[in-house]
Amino acid sequence: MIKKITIALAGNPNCGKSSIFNNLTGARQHVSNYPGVTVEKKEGRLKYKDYEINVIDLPGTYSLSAYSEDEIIARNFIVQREADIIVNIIDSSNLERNLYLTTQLMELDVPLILAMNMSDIVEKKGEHIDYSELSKLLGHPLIPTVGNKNKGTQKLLETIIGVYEKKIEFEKVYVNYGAEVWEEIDKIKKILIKDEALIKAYPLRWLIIKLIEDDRLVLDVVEKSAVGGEVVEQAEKSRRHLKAHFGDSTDVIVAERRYGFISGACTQSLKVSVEDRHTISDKIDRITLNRFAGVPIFAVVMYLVFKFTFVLSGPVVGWCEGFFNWLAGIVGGLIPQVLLRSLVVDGIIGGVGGVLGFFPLILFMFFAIAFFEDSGYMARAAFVMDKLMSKFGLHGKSFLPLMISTNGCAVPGIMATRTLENKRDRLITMMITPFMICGAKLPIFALFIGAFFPAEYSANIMFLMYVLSIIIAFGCAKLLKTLVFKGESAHFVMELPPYRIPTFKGILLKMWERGWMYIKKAGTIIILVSVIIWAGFTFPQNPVIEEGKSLTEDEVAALQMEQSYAGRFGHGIEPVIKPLGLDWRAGVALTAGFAAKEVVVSTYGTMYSLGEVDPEEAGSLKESIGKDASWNPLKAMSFLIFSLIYIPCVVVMAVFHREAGSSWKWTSFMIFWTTALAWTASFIVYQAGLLFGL
Amino acid sequence: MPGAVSPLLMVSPGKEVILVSLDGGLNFRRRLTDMGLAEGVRFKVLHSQGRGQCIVRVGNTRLAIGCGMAQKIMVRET
Repeated sequence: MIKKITIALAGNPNCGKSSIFNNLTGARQHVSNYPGVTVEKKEGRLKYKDYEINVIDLPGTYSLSAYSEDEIIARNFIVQREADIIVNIIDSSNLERNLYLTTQLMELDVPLILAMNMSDIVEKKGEHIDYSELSKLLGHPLIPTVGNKNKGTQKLLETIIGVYEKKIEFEKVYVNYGAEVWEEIDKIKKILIKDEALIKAYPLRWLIIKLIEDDRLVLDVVEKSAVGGEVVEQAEKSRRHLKAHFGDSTDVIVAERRYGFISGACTQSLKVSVEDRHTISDKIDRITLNRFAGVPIFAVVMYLVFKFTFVLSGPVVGWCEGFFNWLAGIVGGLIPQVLLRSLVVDGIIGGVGGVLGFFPLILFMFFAIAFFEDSGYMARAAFVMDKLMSKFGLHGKSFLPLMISTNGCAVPGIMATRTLENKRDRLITMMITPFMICGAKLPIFALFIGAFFPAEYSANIMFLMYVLSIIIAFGCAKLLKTLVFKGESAHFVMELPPYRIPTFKGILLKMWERGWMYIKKAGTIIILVSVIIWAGFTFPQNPVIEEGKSLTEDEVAALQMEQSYAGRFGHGIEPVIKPLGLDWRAGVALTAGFAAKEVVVSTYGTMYSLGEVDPEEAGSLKESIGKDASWNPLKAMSFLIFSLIYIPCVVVMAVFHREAGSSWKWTSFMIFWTTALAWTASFIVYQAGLLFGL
Repeated sequence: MPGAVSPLLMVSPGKEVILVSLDGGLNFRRRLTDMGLAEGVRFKVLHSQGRGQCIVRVGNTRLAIGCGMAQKIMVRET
C-alpha cells in the first residue's frame, strides 16, 4: 500500500527553500540570490520507498504575522494544518533570525522537522553548531542540509517518514513567556475552548498568542466566531494588563521572550569565533551602496548589460536571420501549390521566423541578467533605487517586479508585486510594470532600431529606450500617487544576501528556462496568430484593379494586401493613428500585438514577405523595412514609443485583472490609460519632430 | 557608562548599537522585530545613506532599511 504524505516547506525568504524543493522533487524551480522569488505555493511530488510525498513550497516568510499577499498565502496554509509535516528550512548561517519563525511554528503543534540549510557556509565561517544539542533544546528533529549541493536530502526523507510513522518523537518544547503572560493565556483559553469549530480549524496555542500580540488578521477571524465578543474583550483586557505590568506593549513582550528563548538555545549549541568579520560582501557594498555612486553604478551596470547583449548577439542574430531566409527559399521551392506555399513561406516562416531571429539576443540578455540575479547585486540595486523611487511615490520593493518584467515578462512581474504589503503600492506597481520593455517587446525595438539607426549606436539607443521606459513608469507612478492613491507607503526593510559568484551551470539553466518559454510561445500562440494574420492579408483574393492600368507584380501584391480583410481593417483605423505618422499597416501590426507583443514583428514579417514577390530579392526583415520608402527614422521612433506604452498583451491584462482583485474598474482604467498615453506621447514626438524638420 | 539614546539616523557607520525602542506603529514594530531588529538586540551600522536609509548587520544578516525609518529606531551606542 502506498501511503500519501503532504509536507510543506516553510522558511525565511532566501533561505534556500526552492533548492531543497528542487532536490526533493527533481523540479527546476527558479532559485535566485534575492529574497521573494517564490510568491505562490508550488507543488511537487515524489515517490520514496512505499510513500508518495506531496511537497508544497511556500513563499518565504519571516514570521507567522503576515503582511503581504505572498506571506498570507504561506501563513494560511501553515496554520490551517493542511500539511502532515512542516519542514522548516533554516539558513544556518543566520541562525537567530531564522529561529524566530521556528519558535512560532513550534506553537502550532504540528509535526515539525528542521532542515539546517547552508550548513557548509557555517563551517566555512569557522562556526560550529552542535546539532544534537540544538535539536534537544528546540524539541524537534534537525537535519543539516546543503541545498545547492543536494546534501542531506536522503536523511531528510528518512526523517520525514520516521516522523510520519511516529518512530521519531521528541519532547515538545515551548517558549516560556513567563508566569504573567501564562495567566492571561489561560484566561483566553478558557473562553476559546467553548467554540469547538474554531479550535478545530486553528491551533489553539497559536491563536491565543496571536490574540495577545494583537494580530489584526487573527482578531478578524476570532471576532466572527461564536465566542467572538467575549474573547476579543478578554484579549483586550489581557493586553492592557500586561502593558501596565511590563510597561511595554504585548507584541514587544512576546517578541522579547521568543528572542530570549532563541539566544538561550544558540549560546548552548553554537560556537562562534567572536572577532568582527569584515567580509568581502561588506567591502563590495562599500562601493556599490555608496551614497552618491550607488545609482550611477547601477546605471553603468545596466548599460553594460545592454552593450554586452547587443555587441555579442549582433552577428548571431545575423546568422539566424540568414537561416530563415535560406529556409524560406528552400521550402518555397518544395511546395508547388501557390496558396500553401504562401502560407508556409510568408505566414509561418516570415512571421515566426521574424520573431525567432531575435532569439540569440534574448538569450544573451537573459544570461547577463541571470548573472546579476545570482550574484546578489539585484537586492542592492533595489536598495539603491529605493531613495530615487520614493521620490516618485514608489516603494523599494517595487523595483523587483519592474526588473522581472524588464528581463522577461510582465506576467511574473505582476505576480511579484505580491511581496508589497501596502495595497496602494501594489496596485501602482502593477499598473506601471507593463511599461517595461519585456522579452516580447525587445524584438520590436531591435528590429526598428536595427533598420533605421547605425549598428554602432544600436546598444546606446536601446539603452535610452530602457531609460525612457523607466521615466514613463516612474512618471506615471508619481501621477497615480498624487491623483489617485494618496497616502503613506509601507516601510522598506529588505535582507541583503551575501554576494556569491554565480555558477555557470546555474546561469545557463536559468537562461535556458526563460529562453525556452520564448521558443514555446513562438511555436504556439505566435504561429497561430501569424496564420490568422496571413489569412487576413490573403483573403479575399484577386484585388480589384482599375481598368486600363497595367501593374507590375509587386504593385498587384501591394494592392492585394490593401484590399484584404486585414487591409480594410487597417484602413479603418488609419485616421486615428495618422497624426502619429503611422499608416494602416502599423494599425494592423499594433492591433495584432494585443495577442502577444512578438506578433507586431511577426505581422511585419508576413506583410513584407507577401509584398516581395520574388523570393530571390527578399533580404532580412530588417533590410526590407529599412529600404521601405514609407518609413523614416521619425516615424519609426513614433512607432516604437507607441509600442512601448500601449495596452499590454492579453495575458498580462488577464493576470492584472486577477491580481487587482478582479476589478473591472482598474482593468478598464488600465486599457484606456495606456492607450491614451501611448497616443499622446507618439503624437508629441512625431509632431515635434516634424516641426523641427526631421 | 551607557551612551545616550538617539535615533539610528544619527549614528555614524561602523558603530555598534543596542536597540532601545521602535517608535512606530504596530506594523512597523512587528516588521522589524520579525526580521531580527527587536528591542535589546545588538547590531552594527554598516552604511548610512542619508534620508534615513541605512544598512545594518544583525548577527549574520545584512538588512537594508529604507527611507524614513531610521529616525524611528532608537538606539544606544555601546
